[in-house]
Amino acid sequence: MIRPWLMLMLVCALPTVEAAGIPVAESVAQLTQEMDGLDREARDGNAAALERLQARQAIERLQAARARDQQAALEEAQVLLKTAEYSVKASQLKDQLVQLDRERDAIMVEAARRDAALARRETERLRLQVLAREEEQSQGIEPESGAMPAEQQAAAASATGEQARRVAEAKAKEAELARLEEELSAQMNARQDDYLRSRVVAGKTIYTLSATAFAPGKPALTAAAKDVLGMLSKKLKSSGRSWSVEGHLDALGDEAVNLQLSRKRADSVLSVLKSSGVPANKLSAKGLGSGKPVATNQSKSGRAQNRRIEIIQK
Amino acid sequence: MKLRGAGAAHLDYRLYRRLLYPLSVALFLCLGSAQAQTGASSAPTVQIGRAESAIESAKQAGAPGLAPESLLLAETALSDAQALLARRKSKDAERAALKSIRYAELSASQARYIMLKEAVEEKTARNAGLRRELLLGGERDKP
Repeated sequence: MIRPWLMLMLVCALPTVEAAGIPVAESVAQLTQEMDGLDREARDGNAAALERLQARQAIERLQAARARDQQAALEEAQVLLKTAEYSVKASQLKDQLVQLDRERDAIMVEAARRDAALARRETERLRLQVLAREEEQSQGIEPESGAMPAEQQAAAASATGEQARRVAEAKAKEAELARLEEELSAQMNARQDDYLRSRVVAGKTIYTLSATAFAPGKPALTAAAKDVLGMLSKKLKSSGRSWSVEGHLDALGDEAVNLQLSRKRADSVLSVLKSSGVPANKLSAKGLGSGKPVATNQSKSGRAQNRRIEIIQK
Repeated sequence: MKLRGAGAAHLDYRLYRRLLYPLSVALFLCLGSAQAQTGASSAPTVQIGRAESAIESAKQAGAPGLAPESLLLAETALSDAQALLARRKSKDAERAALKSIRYAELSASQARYIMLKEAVEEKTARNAGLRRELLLGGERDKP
């Protein structure tokens, strides 16, 4: 004789057993299969690790869910799996973007090399022209050639001056291209953790941002450098101190151009720090060109050290 | 006198059994229930707050234009959660808020994926243009 309470328990348990049958098992198997595929797709193992973990946990919850919770658990698992899929794909696209940036840098390096070679040839051609003209002039004062009229002398002097100006321009252009090439090469080899270094001098903190944080030859910061500065801004903000942003460059090229570029780079850094929450009245920026080198300007590595931004505690 | 005193004590005890005891039990249960209600209602409130933040993040990630379907599901689930909370159905409100969070996260990740895909396509085209212009001597594509 079955007791009534036992009968009641059996009746209650029946739908649970039925609902936990084949459909859920099939769904779990399918989701697990998709999850395994996603894990394989995330080759390095770190891509969207959190999202994948959440999806796997949701599948486990579905497996263990009671009949009345199964529908909600299935929906949650499906949504989390889809989120993980998008996150893995997004992670792959991010890697692809880095590759494309490197490819662009490689193109720019190659183009800069070509431009530099052209500029060198042009400089050499102009130098030879100036030499030839000077030689002609020195021959012109010899007695057999006769005295040159004043107008012709003025024209010749003007032409010589023009050529000298063009030689100087070509040299400046060559120096600018050389720097561009150096910055491009440095950026291609740079790692994100190389951007920012800090040191303490006389009790004051100085953060040094390398030139690889900028687009080669330009004042614009790279996206990764902006992220780094965003993190730094929290420290600067919490310090409550005032900070001076100083832009520095190497001695290549015209100093007026260097001053301008160093100033613009310092302004870019200041602007990112400000937009990340550091109060504007705690920040100032200036460009110092090549006036304060920290290494020799005769070597590539020295010049790379000199191209920098310093964020100095006041 | 002694008997009267004992009779009074007996009466007090009967009064306690009949009135005060059920009253004190009822009061105890009410207090317990109120405390439990306070504890239970904080969980859905927190989840609703998280759902609101998740929807805001999704919107900032560009979900209204790039993943409108899942964003709409997130917003609907959030409205459900708020309505359920107003009807004091804490457990259901919490479940709906969690659902809202999941859909908001889905819409955000979908939007980020689409934006990155577009950025990759744009950069690929730009690099091809640069290569043509700078290395092959051709004219760069106009944007």
